[in-house]
Amino acid sequence: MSVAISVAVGVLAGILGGMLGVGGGTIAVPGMVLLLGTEQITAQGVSLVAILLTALVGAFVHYRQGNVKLSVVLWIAPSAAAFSLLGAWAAGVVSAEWLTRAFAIFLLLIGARMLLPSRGGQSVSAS
Amino acid sequence: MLAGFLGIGGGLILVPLLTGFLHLNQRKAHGTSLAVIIPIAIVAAAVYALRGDVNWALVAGIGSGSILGVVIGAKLMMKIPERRLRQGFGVYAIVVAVLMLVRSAGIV
Repeated sequence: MSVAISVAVGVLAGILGGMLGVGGGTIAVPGMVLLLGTEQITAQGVSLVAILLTALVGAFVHYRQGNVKLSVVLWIAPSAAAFSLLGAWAAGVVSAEWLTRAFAIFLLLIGARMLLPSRGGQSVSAS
Repeated sequence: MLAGFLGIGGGLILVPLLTGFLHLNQRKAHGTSLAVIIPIAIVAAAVYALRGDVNWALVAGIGSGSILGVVIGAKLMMKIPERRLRQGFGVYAIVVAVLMLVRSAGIV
């Protein structure tokens, strides 16, 4: 049963990841925590390995289509990796409750940004 | 940093930065962001794995599911307007965030 759920969570995460360029971890982590009762930190570890696998496949496909700017990758990657190391270390230091809260607050912000119109064209009814 | 701390890829932050500051188009931003995610995920996943915070049985399920999902997602992308998708994801994110906050407060 939990195998079926984990595959289903993965499929959903992959679909959204492929469509919006987001959603990999934001679907996989809560899916594991809420549906499978996985510890927050373990869910994050699993999510990162799954993201690595899908990013390898996705980047390869995009690279062949000429959609990867290598100069930008080489420029951003070192600092991104260094901060990733810092973040991964910090996740092991804070308490499980605060790690879950930090994740939830991040999701709230992302959710709000998605619901607000992103470009100038669409405006909410004028006040 | 967020990626390593929260276990997410970083595409949510990278794509807007690449389109906004570097003026890459959406496709190039998406592809470039995926390539940047690889070193981020390698470093973070290694830290989690060394600490024993990776459940490999779950990786097999989630990983195989996501690769299948990416393929389905790429096909579905043409059929659903992006605005709809963003709205759906926004509602999902807020509902899940509230559930996780309630849970971490020990109410449920």
